[in-house]
Amino acid sequence: MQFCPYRVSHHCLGMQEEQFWILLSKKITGEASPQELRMLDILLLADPSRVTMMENLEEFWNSSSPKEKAAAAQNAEEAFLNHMNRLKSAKLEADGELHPSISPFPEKKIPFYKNQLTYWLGSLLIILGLVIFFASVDKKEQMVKVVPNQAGNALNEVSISPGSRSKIQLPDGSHVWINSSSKISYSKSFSSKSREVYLNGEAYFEVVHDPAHPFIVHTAAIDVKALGTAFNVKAYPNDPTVEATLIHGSIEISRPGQPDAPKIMLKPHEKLVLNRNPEPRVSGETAKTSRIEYTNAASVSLLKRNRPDSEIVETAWVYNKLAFEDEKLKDITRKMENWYKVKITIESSRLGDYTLTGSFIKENLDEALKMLQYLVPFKYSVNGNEVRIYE
Amino acid sequence: MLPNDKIKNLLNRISTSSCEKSYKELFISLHPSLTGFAESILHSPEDAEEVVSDFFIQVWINRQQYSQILNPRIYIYISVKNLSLNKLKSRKRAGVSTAAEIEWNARMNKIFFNPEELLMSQEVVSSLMKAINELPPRCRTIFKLVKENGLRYQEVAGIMEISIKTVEAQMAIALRRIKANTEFLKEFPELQYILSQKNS
Repeated sequence: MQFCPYRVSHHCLGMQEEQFWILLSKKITGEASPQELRMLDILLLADPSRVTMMENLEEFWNSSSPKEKAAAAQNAEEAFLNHMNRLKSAKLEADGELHPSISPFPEKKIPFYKNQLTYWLGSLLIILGLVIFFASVDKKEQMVKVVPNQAGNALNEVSISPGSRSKIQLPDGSHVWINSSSKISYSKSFSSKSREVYLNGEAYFEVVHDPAHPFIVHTAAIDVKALGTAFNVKAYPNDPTVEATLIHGSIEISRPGQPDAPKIMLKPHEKLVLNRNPEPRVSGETAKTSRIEYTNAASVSLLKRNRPDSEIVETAWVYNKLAFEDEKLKDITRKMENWYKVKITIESSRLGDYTLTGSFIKENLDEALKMLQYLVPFKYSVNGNEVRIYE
Repeated sequence: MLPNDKIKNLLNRISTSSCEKSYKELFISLHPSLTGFAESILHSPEDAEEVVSDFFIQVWINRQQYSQILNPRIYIYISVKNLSLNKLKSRKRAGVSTAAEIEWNARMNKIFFNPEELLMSQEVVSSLMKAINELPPRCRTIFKLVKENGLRYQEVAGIMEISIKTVEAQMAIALRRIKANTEFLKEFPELQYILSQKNS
């Protein structure tokens, strides 16, 4: 049986056309019932050329853009990082009070982690720390030893060898992430009177709040005093500069042996760079920050805002990430030497002055060098622990 | 759009074991569609981003309650719609407080199909995008929810508080206009001839 609606009556063509498009859209979108599909077939018999048109539309409908999908996923990843920052501050503001019933962790048991979110974020950091810790324990690269200091008091000392990182917890509950080739020491009587640690190298501190006992980090060039706060101190003896970066809370920085020198207070997301050389000179790293003050050899600058902690270059290493931003290749290879426990020589000053931004997470040395090759046209050779970079 | 069962699974894991991996997966997979949807109400990408983030903050804070939802797809869209309406109110756009008063205006700023696969020339692509962007705003929103966000007609009707008949009619208008503005095979007359021979 053939049924040709176009021959039935001409004055209801408009209606029919509308009905045809509703049925066709429903078929294409998978919404049509079996009766509707049959009805559509009948309408198509009247004009078979429309079958091709329908197939084309159907193909168009089912096509998707892999490129745009990948871009959307990338965009969502970035949005998720921003979202986690907002979630963190939303929970800190609420501080468990708005939703007291939802936390399965009563404050009495875990006073430091006031609500489940901080608990959760904290555990994430601890797990991360443990991973780093065990990774380094495995290689027997972390050394904890007790040595007497000049005054005869015993000191606990933690040394991290080149190429590894570690995390420890101090007796007061504060956490310290120690970067490679660094050493932390603190007295046996830590936390009973005062909380003082000695740092040689780089470490990130998350200090338990205790106004009665200020937490002090001593380095050769600066002393950093904190109450309850998170900050990074970089004081490698061979680096030309000493740096202190504050993530949250507040810290006060003074020069040891100079009680009259003005103390510098940092606000969150500020960074202090101090030149060891008496002559002030602008360090290469200030390019990535907008400087707000410059006194003598010290400068305070503001970190880029609205970034999750793991994206901040100064603290990326805590997240097992080697990050660099607008840094010269020769400075990046210095970081890589520490990170991968190798010696890297750049045999061309032209190559060394290339400025790059990026980060390595899981890349091994060879993969990292290959990534750099995408950005800088160089050749390299690896011989044991020595890497040569040349044109 | 993820199927209801998949979303239920993720919500369950977030709800019962505070699974942050599931939380991230849910966020990443819903983020593109939900921000587009919120933007069609708020007409501002920044506000849309904030509303979607606010919604996920609620999901985390009240996660215990999220294991019981029967139809999470509709629930999620309606939550985002309500948060968007609150945001409109806070922006003091007096008068907009119900779904009926929303000036729906979804934007199609990206290509959501694969021109290479469809053998489309650059001209066809731009005339197609033009056709879609010249659809009436509400029609474009319905089209986007069905095509890009993968919602069923019934879900769109529930979310936008309109009848299924309206969704059917608007989808028909959209596809008809798209067809009128793009002749897919105009560069391949031979192919069209062969195909029409085959079908007759």
